[in-house]
Amino acid sequence: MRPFDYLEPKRMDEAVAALVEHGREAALLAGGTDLLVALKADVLRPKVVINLKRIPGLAEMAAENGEMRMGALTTVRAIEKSALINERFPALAEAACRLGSVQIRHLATVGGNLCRAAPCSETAPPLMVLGAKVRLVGPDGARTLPLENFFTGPGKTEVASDEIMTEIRIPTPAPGSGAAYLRHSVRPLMDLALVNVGVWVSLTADGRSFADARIVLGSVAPTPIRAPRAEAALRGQAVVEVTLEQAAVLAAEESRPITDVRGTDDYRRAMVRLFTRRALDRAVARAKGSGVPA
Amino acid sequence: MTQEFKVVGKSLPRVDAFAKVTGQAQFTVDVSLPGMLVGKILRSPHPHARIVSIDTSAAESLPGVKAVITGRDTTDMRFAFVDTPRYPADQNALAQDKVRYIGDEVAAVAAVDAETAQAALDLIRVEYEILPAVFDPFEAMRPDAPKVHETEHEGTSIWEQWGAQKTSTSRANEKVNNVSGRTIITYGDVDAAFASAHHIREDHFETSATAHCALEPHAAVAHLDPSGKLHLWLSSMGIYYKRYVIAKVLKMPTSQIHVHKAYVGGAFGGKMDVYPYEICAAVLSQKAGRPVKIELTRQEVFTTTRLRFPTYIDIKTAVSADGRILGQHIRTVVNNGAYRGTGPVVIFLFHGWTAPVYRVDNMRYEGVSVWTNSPVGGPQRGHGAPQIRFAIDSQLDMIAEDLGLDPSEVMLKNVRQIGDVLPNGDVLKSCGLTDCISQAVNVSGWKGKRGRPGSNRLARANGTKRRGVGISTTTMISGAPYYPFASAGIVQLHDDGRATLLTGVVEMGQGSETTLAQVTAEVLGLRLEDIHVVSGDTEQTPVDMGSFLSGGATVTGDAIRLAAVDAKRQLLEIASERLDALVEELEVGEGRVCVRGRPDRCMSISEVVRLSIKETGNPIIGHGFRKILSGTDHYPSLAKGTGRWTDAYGFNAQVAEVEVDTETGLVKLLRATTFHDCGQPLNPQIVEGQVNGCVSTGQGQALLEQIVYDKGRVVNSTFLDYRLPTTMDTPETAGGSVESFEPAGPFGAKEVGEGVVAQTLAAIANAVYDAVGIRITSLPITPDKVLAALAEKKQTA
Amino acid sequence: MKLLVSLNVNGQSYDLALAPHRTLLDVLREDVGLTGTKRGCDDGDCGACTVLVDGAPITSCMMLAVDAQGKAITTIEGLAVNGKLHPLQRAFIDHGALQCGFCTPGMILTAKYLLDENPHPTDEEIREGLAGNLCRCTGYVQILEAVEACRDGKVAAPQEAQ
Repeated sequence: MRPFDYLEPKRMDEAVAALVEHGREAALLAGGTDLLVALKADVLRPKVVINLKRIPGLAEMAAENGEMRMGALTTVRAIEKSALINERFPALAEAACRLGSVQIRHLATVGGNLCRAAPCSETAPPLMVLGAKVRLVGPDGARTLPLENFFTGPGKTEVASDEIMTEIRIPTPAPGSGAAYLRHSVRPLMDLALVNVGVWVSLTADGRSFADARIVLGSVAPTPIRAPRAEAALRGQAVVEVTLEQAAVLAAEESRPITDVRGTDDYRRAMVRLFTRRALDRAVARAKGSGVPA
Repeated sequence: MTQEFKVVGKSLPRVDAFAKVTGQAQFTVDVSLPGMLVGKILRSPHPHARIVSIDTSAAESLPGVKAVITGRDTTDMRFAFVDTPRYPADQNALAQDKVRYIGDEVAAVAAVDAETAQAALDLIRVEYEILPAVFDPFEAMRPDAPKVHETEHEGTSIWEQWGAQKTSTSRANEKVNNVSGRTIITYGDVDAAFASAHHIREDHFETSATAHCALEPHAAVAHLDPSGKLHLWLSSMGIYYKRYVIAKVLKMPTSQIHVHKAYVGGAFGGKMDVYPYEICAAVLSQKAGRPVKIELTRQEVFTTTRLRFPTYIDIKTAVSADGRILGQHIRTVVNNGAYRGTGPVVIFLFHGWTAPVYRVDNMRYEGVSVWTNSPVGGPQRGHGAPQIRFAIDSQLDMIAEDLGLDPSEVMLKNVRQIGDVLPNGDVLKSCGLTDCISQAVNVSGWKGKRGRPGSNRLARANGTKRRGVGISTTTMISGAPYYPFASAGIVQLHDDGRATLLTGVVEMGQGSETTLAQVTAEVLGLRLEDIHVVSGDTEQTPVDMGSFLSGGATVTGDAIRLAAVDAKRQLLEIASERLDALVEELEVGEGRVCVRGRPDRCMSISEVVRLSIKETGNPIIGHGFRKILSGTDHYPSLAKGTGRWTDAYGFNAQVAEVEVDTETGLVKLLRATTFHDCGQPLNPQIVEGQVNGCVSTGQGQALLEQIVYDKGRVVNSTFLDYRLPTTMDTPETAGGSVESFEPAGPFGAKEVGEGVVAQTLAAIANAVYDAVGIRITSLPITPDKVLAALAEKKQTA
Repeated sequence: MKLLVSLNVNGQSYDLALAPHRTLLDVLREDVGLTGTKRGCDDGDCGACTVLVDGAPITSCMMLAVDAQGKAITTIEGLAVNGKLHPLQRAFIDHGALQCGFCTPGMILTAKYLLDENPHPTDEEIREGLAGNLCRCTGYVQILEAVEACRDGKVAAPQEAQ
């Protein structure tokens, strides 16, 4: 790695001030699993690295006021092991437990995973379908952004060069809804996803039709993408085989995979169909099991 | 004929285990010398280019840079694994006039730390004239293809410099563009065999380049000390071989080079060749006057060392109605990459791995290796056996299906037996192939698990996952003649009755320090823990053939046995006087020398040693040696396949059970049942470990591993993008050794640990066919290939 | 720029002046002088550089050394206590779970974490837990056997000679 200067701000305003001062010559260090790879590959050459981990309060998880608040520096391992997450947001736990290896999960953070904005990001699809928002803090204060609108290109996000993500907020899931996350790769672990799918469905009170649905496809476009045609094919329709299958087919059509060293576009498209269907099945089962009497 | 031994044949803990589990074992990458500099290499970004100019002045004047070298400093430093008049060495330590692949070495620097060395590389200005490049071997053979090597050098020969005899001096007649090696082997009458055949199949197979992936990266430490002695630490497979070639290249006497002991963190064939970075480390050390360490990055290991040769195989086989092979015509083409390396060897070996397994009296084999502007191919666990066995046993499976026969029975009809003489003159004094196949079939549940020939396998079961079984066999040599042509050992007794074994062998995980100590202990009647092993150092241990020709058990093992026998003889001679008995009446055991059957007439070995020193001054040092190939000093012809080349072959058979997910195309190896004939296993636990490792590599190369190129650039040079099997992929394993005894080896032992990779490939491919009726003839068998084949099968059904 | 850092490695304090770009892996091997932690890829993909930081396994090539200030680092050299091997080390020897030994330190430390966190893992949990540690020699079979032998608080029994 090329040498750089190093700062360990103890407070958020110090960190922001450092970003303001150094602008694009600064890089933020969270878990380091993406940053160090980029530094070693000489893809990034920052003059200053700002370690965020000495700022208290950025790695806590709490449920309050009808939403889950997760500090951006929460490690993927903590998410994987959190009883709260496993109970309320199993789709997110499903994503966490498949990221890298146990070693990587102890370092990697959810904020880092989102800000790295890889098309195959593990945490983006479940967080997006769960309607998550992210909180960004800059010199002019804080703003909150739906994750929907967060990714602008491969490796690119809405975060300005003087902003830091501090928190992810996930609304409490409504009764009668359920979410699931599945990912497919050749090796079960330690392999970037060929295809990953996040699905959230909300059922009508009698549990027989879809009130609403969100489907996010990863690894098959420059960013994680919604599958609006597939979603539309579910809304208002009965929860039956032919509906689910049709949505899966549409999701595959809406995907835009490429052929690369990890797999072919045809194969990815076929897997989008397969895993969208499987994720739908699981989400529906969860939605049916989650009903709270009105 | 398994004898009962006291130490040999026992699963005793490795002698290097304590050092390795505590992190104390020193590998080349761990070596640190006072004043040591970091060396780095500047490599070509182009697959084919002429070097117009190199300006190193800015790099040289960077503070902290102690030496910079380019091709100017290495003009006559030419070397290669194959170096004969027919195949002269074609690689230089640093590029001379042109670069021939992306990664080719252009310059090297030594600096006080890694950052400075990298900064120095960035300051070297190279002007290239880009030349047209060729990446495909078939295109490269066309007369209009760019020439990868323009001049043919005068070859010297390692063999001739040693006074060994060649069997032939004729050169190949036909010159084809970019052909780096050609082998033509014929015997019998292939045309008559085809004319009289009941059934003929002709099939084409392709295999990919794969990487060794030893966990310890390639590295070298060089220190030219003020007295002119060159000290080297090399993560290598053969210290004497490396010393010889490096001495030749640097024009130093071999004894002026001291290769020091270092444990090796895996090699698998990839650390056998002498590499430019090793020469550069030595030259930099000379120039800087300080030790220099060069440790390759993982990316450099993937792209600039060696890869398994991508191979194209056409096989035409004639069989009788009952499945006996009447004749075979095999054609192979390998993509050699930019330098010859072992290209001419692997095309010779394809036939070498064919002849010992099935008896084929009528053969025409043609192999060609072709230069291209791609990364260089080299030996990798099996060295050609995986590719050719994949092809032969996939086809045999297809032939069995065509004839409505069980492939295991077809194999049994064709396998060789003890006493067979191979076309090149090698004699099988041990051969457990029949037993290996029979036991693999019995233990794996083969008969109950496989589909009937011709059945519609997809219709056979419900559900989306289908299981199947496949079988394959393979062989591997136990040593072959190559520098230094022999192994030797020294056993030194101590006055406390224990012994030190000095062996030049390199311990790279295969367990040779342990198994050789077991041989020593067995002969001397000592326990394993009584033997201290000193290994792998050219000043402290005697010559060894190296751990790259699978001769560790047979050749080195026998040399060590003979050394121990020599020490024992001396012990018995001294003891016979004191015990007042004839030498023939004495035996060793439990650390003592005793008159046979008379436990009251004993001396401890400690007493014998002390007596010997007191009376004659002889401290009891035994020495032994063994030529790699007995009975001849002629070496085989790579081009014609004539001439004996090994004293013994190891054999294996494997049944693989797979589960194919018809929705995702993923193939899971459920179970590998492997029976091997390694003669007498010296240490069953170590043998089992070797077999398991081979199965894992075979599984990886059948299903997961593939180096992907894009116009000569490797695009997956990380452990993330190059998929190795992980714990999650581990199959159930079963099997064992068959009863066998190899007279050429110590206590009957011969090769294990390289062969099993080869058969896993066809076993898995055949199992996939058994499961879902699709035949994949190119490796690796990836999910997208499986899914596409299933879709096509559905359409044509 | 150099920072004064105090690293706690195997219970011992090392006061070092470190450039911030240096990884924990490099500093352990070069400055602290403990070469038991190995570099296999330098990219977080192979697990050979695994150490325990406050008990958690991390790939030390992915952590800046300056970031390890104030944490308890355990390397393979810190596992045996007063010359007595940890049960996992013993089990690896007894089950033949190592060959070249290069992946072994990282493998043992990751396995130690697994068993410390959950002394009763299933076979599948052991496989998943070790999936980030690559081995090319053993095919993992004997490694899994060695770890399985240590679960449920068992201390591995010495291998019986046949």
